[in-house]
Formats: sequence, structure tokens, C-alpha cells
Amino acid sequence: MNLYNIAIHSLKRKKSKTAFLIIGLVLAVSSVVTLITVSEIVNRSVATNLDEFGANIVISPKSDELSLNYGGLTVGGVSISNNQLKNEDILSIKKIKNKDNISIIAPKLLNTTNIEGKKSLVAGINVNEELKLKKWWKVIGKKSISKSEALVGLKIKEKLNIRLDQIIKINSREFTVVGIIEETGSQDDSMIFINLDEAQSVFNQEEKLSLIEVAALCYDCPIEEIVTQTSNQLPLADVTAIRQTIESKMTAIHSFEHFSFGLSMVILIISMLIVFTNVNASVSERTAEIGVFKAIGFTRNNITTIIIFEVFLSSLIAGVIGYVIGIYASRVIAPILSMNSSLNVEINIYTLIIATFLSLIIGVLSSLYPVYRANKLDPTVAFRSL
Amino acid sequence: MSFIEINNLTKEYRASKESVLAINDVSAAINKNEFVAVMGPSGSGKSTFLTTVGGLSKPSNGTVKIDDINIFGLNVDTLANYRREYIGFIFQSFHLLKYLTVQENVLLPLVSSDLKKKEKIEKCHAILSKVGLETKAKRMVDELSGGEQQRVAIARALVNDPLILLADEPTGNLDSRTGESIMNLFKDLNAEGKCVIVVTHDNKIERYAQRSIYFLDGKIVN
Ligand SMILES: Nc1ncnc2c1ncn2[C@@H]1O[C@H](COP(=O)(O)OP(=O)(O)O)[C@@H](O)[C@H]1O
Ligand SMILES: [Mg+2]
Repeated sequence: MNLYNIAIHSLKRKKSKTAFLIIGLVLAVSSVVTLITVSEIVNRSVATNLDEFGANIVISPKSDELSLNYGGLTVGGVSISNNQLKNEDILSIKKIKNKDNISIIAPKLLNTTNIEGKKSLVAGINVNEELKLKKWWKVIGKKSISKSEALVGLKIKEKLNIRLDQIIKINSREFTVVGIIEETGSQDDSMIFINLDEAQSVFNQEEKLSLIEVAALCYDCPIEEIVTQTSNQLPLADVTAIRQTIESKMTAIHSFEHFSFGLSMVILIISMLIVFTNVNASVSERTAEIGVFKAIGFTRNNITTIIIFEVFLSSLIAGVIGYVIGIYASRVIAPILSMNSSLNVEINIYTLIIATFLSLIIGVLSSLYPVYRANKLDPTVAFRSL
Repeated sequence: MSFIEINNLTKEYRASKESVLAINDVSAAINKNEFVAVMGPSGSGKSTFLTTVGGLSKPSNGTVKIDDINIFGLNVDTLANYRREYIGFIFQSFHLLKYLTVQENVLLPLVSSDLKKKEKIEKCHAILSKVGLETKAKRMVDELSGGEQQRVAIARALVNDPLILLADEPTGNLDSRTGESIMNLFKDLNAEGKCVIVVTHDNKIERYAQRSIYFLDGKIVN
């Protein structure tokens, strides 16, 4: 007979109360585990999709002129003579330590030229990569262009009065306009797109590039690291992270995280109230019993040990059960909410320990006041009540 | 100097509005081998007197000295240890733990003792046979009759071999024949050297005691 035996016998005796306490905690732990697991998975999937939505790193030749600014459309100042990027630089990017985080590399060669007497901006692009990067492009006609085909932005189409299937001359070579990009609100509206190889040969700039746009998956790797690694690979280039894009993406991701964190907190507080009510009621019901403990000379420590151990055992059981239920619930819910269906949620000891620990903390914390009350209890009042 | 010395003991219960003087400036002295009956009508302060003497509830005023130790001068945990070693309480409604067996109930006060498990069990069996329950050690307590339950409670009070037994209406829930056998048990225990104080409002009980203290409205009268 020791204090732990007393607690275990007492728990067994009041089966329905114990069950209620455990169920309350199981619900809390499993909801929190589900929320956090699912939000982690959904985040990852959202982050991956967002990261591929437009570039977050731009690589341009090092230049003393500040006017070389693609994003802000000061492209008029692009000095081709300064062009130091080459096709082979793409291979260098693919060699950085975090190469697995690089998802899209979209190289570009920009040139201004006269088309039908009007100054126009022509971009040589890697069509596949560009289309992956600019998922928002809506094209009337054909999206992908082959040799001697061109895509045109809406503004330049109107300025030059081009129609679909029309042939335009770029540096006296002929290109068929196979697609018109609907208005994007960006500089793309004023550009003509042709294949990179074609552009390099039309403008006599074999192997050369004006800039490279990169989409990096930066969910679990800071973008700064990728920027640094790329800079080291390309010492002659300026590698810049596009802050604005990154921050707005992170805000989107974090707002989801904040939501599940907030919801978890609410659930935890509710479960603390459940435990508190349960243990407090149990102390009230057991005033006579606690009085007996005092009468036979149990110290405050003894009494605390009995009550806390009861809660401890219940929380321990609830933590394990809640975790397992949470993981199974996540397995059902995560594929529905995330865009990636090949995710698997594994039971792992580390998170199991965290969940159990969480359950124990809820249980023990919310029992502190009832325990204090039990120790303060005047035993004579306890005996009078019966 | 007596074994138990009670000086100017006052206990006031404060409810929200009114306060009750349950015992009012009471002094008494009780010797080591005495068997004292505490008598008086309901509400006169007998139970309060007993729990205060037993160190279970703090008086508003006055002192209780046992073996020359001012028990309310001890800190809470020392007082708990003191109760465990010196005092055995017995209540009208037994107050056994229903989720434990007879033996487990009797072993409760030994929970933090240094005795080996075997020694504890031996001790428990010796005491159970003293109260005539040696065959019922493994029973759950609510399978027993009222008289048997009170014997378990007495065994629990005795297991630490205390010098003082404090019983509050121990026969109140029992029929008169069972009550008599319980009182005889107290008489035997007193003969073995225990100081026994029994609270009762039953005049038939009085004859077991060597001496009676009468309470009326929180005061001792003669
Ligand atoms: N915990 C308490 N709170 C308030 N009043 C109490 C309490 N315990 C006892 N009393 C009051 O103190 C007086 C003495 O009670 P008690 O010691 O139980 O008397 P007895 O045991 O002689 O019946 C009664 O008036 C009772 O109502
Ligand atoms: Mg009474």
C-alpha cells in the first residue's frame, strides 16, 4: 500500500469520472495534434505552390548603373554591352548546396529593336520554365512557342496592331505570332517573347543572358542562404531576393499557422477548464476522504501526491490515445486540404512525447488550484458534512 | 503536570455574517491512562473540542499541550507527523475508504513508514485479530456490517500504536449490542495503557469511562 496505489484504486473506483476526464483530454490532445499536423502539411503544400508562383530571386549582371531594373520597368536603360551572364551560369546555379530547393530557373535575354518602325522589347525565354513561373499567364492562341514563333503582350499587340498568326520581323528574321498574352499588369504586357536560342542568334549574342529569374522553395531554407550560395557560384552577378514577394507569401503561410495556433490555444484552455472542473468537483466530493487523510497524519505532500498522480495517470493515458487519434485524423484530413496527395503522416516518438507532455501539463496545471484547496480544507468541516 | 493540558481553548467558527463560539475559554487536564467520556447535548461543542485536542483544527485562542509539546506551535507538516504517531481518530460514520480492502484501509497510516512490506502486513494482521477481523483482511470494506466497519476504523487508528485514541460518537451508527462490544474494545485498549477520549451524548456509554466532562454551550460544566 503506497500513495500511488491509493491513487490507482481511487481512479478505478470512480470509473465514469475518470473516463470523462480522459475523454476530455483525448479530445483536446487529438484536436491539437490534428490541427498542427494538418497545418504543417497544408503549409508545406501551400508554400511549395506559392514559391513556384513567380520568381523570388533575380540574377542580373553586376553593374554600376542602378538603372538596370527589370521589376520596375526601367528596361530602356538595359545596356546589353554590360551583359556578363551566360548559359553556363544556369548549370552553376544547379550546383549550389540547396539545389533541391531550386524549383524553376527562367533565363532571359532582353533586347530592344525596331518592329514596324516602333521601338519594342524582345525577350528570349526558355518557354517551359517561363510558363511554370508565370502560372497566371492566360494566352489566346498557343501557349508554347517553337522556333520562329512568338508570344506577344497585350499592350504591344495594340501598339503595333498585331493579330494572331501575323508574321512580324525581328532583326529581319520572321516570326509568327501564335499567342497573345492577356493583360497581366506587368511589363510582360509590353514584350514580345521568342525562344532563347532564337533571340541569341537573332541578336548575335550567342550563349548570353540578360537576367535569370529563379523560383526557390524556401519553406524550410531561408532565402538568404540560397542567395548567398548562388552569389558564391556567380561572383560576377548580382543575386537579389525579391523581398516583397517573399514577405507576402510568408504572411499568407503564417496567417494559416496563426489560425491553427490560436485555435489550439482555445482548445487547450477549454480542456484546462474541463480538467479543472473535474478535479475540483472530485476534491469537493472527497472532502471527508481528505479529512481522513489528514486525521491519520498524511502531510500536504502526501495528499498532493495522491491527487496529482491520479491526474498524471489520466493525462498520460489521454496523451497517448489523443496523439494516435490525432495522427489518424490527420491522415484522413491532410490529403483533402493539401494539394499534394502523396503525403504520409507517420507516428513518431518525438511528437508522441510532446503530445503526452502537453497533456500532462494541461492536467497538472489545471489541478494546482484544486490541490491547494484540498490542502487548505478544514477536516472538521469535512466530517460535519456527513 | 498532566499528559494532555488544555488551556483557555476557544474556537470560533466564522460564517459570512454571524460567528459561532463552538468552545468558549475551556481548560482541562487529562492523564495518560485515563478513559474520559465527553458528554453534552448536540451542538454543545464536543466534536470541536475533540478535533482541536487532536490537532486537526486550529483553535482561535488558547493552547493544547500533549507530553509538554504545544501542538499548535508546530508547523503544518510536523503536526501531521505528530498526529500520525500520537493520535488515532475514530468517527461516527467510520470514514473508511470504500475503494480499498480492509487490510489496505488499516495500512493507510503506515504509507510513509520505513517498515518493510512484510512487517507492515504482520502488524496489520496482529491488529485485525485484536479487533476480531483476522479473517476479513481481503474484503472490500462495504461488504462488512456497521460494527465490523467500526472495528476496521479502530484497527486503522491503532496501527501506528498511538498513545491517544479520540472517538467521536463511535457507537452513534450502531445498534446497542454492537455499540457495547465497541465500548468494551475501548475499555480493553485503555487497560493496555492508551488514553481514550470518547465523545457521546448517550448516557449508557458513560459507565465505561473513568470520568466525564460535560459540555454546555461551548463551556465545561460540572
Ligand atoms: N465548521 C463549522 N462551521 C460553522 N459552525 C460550526 C462548524 N462546526 C461546528 N459548528 C457549530 O459549532 C457548534 C458546536 O458544534 P460541534 O462541536 O459539532 O458540537 P457537538 O459535537 O457537541 O454536537 C454548533 O453550534 C455548530 O453548529
Ligand atoms: Mg458532534
